[in-house]
Amino acid sequence: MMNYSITALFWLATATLLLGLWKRTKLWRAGQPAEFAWLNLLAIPKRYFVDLHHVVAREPFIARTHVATAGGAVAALGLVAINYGLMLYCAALNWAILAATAIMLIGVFFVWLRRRNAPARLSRGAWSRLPYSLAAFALGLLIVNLPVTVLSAGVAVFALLLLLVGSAELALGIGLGGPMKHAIAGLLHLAFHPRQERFSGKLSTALMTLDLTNQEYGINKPSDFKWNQLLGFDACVQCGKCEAACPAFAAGQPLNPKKLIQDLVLGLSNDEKSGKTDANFAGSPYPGLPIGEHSGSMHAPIVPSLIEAETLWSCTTCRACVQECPMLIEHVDAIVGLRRNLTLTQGAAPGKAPQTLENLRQTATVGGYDRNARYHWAVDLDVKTIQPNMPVDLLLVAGEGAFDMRYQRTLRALVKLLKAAKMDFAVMGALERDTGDTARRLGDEATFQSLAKQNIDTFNSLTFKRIVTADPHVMHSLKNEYPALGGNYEVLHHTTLLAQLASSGQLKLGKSAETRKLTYHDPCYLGRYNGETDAPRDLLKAIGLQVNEMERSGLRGRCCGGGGGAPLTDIPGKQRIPDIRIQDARNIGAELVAVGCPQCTSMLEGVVRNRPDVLDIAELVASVMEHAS
Amino acid sequence: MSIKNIVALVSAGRHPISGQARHCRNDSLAMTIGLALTSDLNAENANSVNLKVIHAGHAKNAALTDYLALGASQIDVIPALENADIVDSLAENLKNVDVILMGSRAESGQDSGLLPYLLAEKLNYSLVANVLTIKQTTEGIEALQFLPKGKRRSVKVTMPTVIVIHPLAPVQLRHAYARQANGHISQFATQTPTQESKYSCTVEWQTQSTIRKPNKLKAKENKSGHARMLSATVSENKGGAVVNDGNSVEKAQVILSYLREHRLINF
Repeated sequence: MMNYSITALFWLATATLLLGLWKRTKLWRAGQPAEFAWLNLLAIPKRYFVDLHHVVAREPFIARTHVATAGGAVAALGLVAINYGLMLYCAALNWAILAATAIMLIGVFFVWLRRRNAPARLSRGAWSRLPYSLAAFALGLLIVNLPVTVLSAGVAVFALLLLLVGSAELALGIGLGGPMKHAIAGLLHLAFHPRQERFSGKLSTALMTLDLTNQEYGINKPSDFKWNQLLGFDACVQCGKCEAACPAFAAGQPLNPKKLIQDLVLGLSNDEKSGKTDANFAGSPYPGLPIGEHSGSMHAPIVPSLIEAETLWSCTTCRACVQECPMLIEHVDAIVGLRRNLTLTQGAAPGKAPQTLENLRQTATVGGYDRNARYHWAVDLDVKTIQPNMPVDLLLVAGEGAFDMRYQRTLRALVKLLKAAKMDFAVMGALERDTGDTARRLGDEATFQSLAKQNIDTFNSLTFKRIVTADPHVMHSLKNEYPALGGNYEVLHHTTLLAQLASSGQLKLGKSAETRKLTYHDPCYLGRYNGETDAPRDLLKAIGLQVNEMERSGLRGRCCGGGGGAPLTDIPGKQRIPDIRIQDARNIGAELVAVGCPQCTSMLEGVVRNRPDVLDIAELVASVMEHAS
Repeated sequence: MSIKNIVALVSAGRHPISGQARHCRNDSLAMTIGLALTSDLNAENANSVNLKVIHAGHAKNAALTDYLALGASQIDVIPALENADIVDSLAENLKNVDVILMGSRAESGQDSGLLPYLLAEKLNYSLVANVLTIKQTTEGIEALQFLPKGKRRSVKVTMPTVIVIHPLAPVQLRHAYARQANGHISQFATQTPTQESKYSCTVEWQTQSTIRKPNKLKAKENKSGHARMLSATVSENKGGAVVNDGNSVEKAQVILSYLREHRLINF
């Protein structure tokens, strides 16, 4: 009798799950078509155990808890499918189920333990009931599989009821959007992830190119996302690791990546009149924006009824959220997609952004400068200016920093070092246009593409082997984003090149006389966007400087606040992002912050005194040269 | 009296540093004010008000696409020769228009700033210059005029009228690529008069390098914030002294001692 009811319950739950999945799939399919391969379903185990677990394992406690809970649950479900689903009712399998449920129960105990003192980043609401419903499932399954020949009728009914409650959590999750939705959507997201390159060990950080001639103007309503992006949003487990990493959230600007993804999930609804608001969201709100006043649906514009524009313009595109996300969700793609629609169809970028975009269109510089003046800082350094039919090894692309008197010191230091290493190099002179990086982050894909095409034409007319730049934003554009438009170049950050030259002995370096306590700030566009965290540290080590690491460093470094056009849109918050970063440096007692990016330099130097000094690595290395000579 | 036809005149500009063709900002402000007025009027009553954007020049001019991006859905181009008088050809196409909007002057070509006045004279329309904002009232439209020192003047305007927008008009320009891609630039079919302008300068332009101007000696002011605010807002309170007594040597001595007192000369 008992066995038959479990079989019935199993098939009922399976049918419910499939029905729910079908319902949810219909919502995902409202999105735009995207290329995908069914065969990737086979790659799920590898992607789960390697790529996803790699992120989760950064927090060992919850990693082990999840292994026990989910591992026990999956094993138990598999065994139930065999034993009860196929009506074998084999005693040995009962023992196995018993073991699996016991493991699950232990895991659930730790889930409960963690929920008792949950960090602020975790969502409450429906997620708070999860330890209980999972415990009900595990306990129910445990009892019915106990090797007792006859259970008292009362216990049996109680156990079946527990099992029913627990199975409802698992089976209804996907259809009703409950917490257990993450299990199915998460696994499918691993298979159909919009950035498949991520799983081949490569960094995938370039923004997708819009086909402007085909009137692709970014995301206006949820159904403008690709279907696999919508699926990705559903994978969110609301762990809030993105929230904890987000510099804009920390600064009190109205952005919380977790809430943003949940708002987009809210948009996955065909009910236009139900008026379902975000009132059920049980996590931290966007700082300064109350919960319960926004709602959306599949075919309604997202801004401003679902998400406020200021939320989107707060993002520095630092990718800290993407780096932290255990479900591998791409927050920055969603934000830039939404920004693109605002900029391309309404011209609605706030603050100084419209002036900057106009400057880029009209002068090919961010600040509206004369392109002929870009290399004035090099006038006394006897540097070659590249021309067609003048082959050089190395092309130095200075970027917008060349107009900034502070950053010109860095560039001068770099030129001195390149000369000391006897490199065959030239600067671009008046031929250089802005790479369009800022325009692209601000959503102005048209201006980016126009600048990129002009730059690619210029590069094609020149003969050089490699490009070196001191600006990681220039590097990211040229190296990662130009290939989609037909420009393929070997691009090096100046710290990478200098580290190579130092280790090969081509650049002979002494030891630095610097005695101040030093730390190194990783630029997001060098670290997370290009994976380069070693060369700057090697270089500092080579000149005898010890790097004291700040609270967040390397690939998990904290943003300076200068990326993504955020200093231009300048959305007000409670404090400034660079102040937070300098506080990181103060906390370890650093007196000197080494940087490798013009944006970071100006953001960190913009913090009021008393603060650590800010010097570019090129300046530190060049001072050693002067010492030696 | 209700407004039925609004026209915004736009000119081709160029960037002062890069020399790249672009919209003339002042004209864009006028056009944007026209667009806002049109949509306000259309929201109020059912009769459709139409804003026409007109350029006299070449339809291929790269500067025109900026106006599409800034909100014009269509730009009608009246063909004009290099030295032809555009007043006649514009006037020909601006009959039966209630409101003509434009910036105070173009950024290139024969940018004398006289076009609105010549046009108003030729069409016998009223003209309001230095306008910051306009709004429709029951009698017609009311324009807020810019005056120096923060003063403003509200003017009732009789239609038909030429309204010249001030460069400081409080308007946010919004450049959207999608509008540029969807907009049209069409050439007027009517062949326009091609006679030489009576105002145009047919002599060859001469270019010469600028002469370095002497620096103006200015005394360093040590006035309080309140005093500086007063001298900026009240036209009387300028300070200084008027010397009427004495001969020329004595008067020169006053100036000399002033310069020495303020350390503008050191001899």
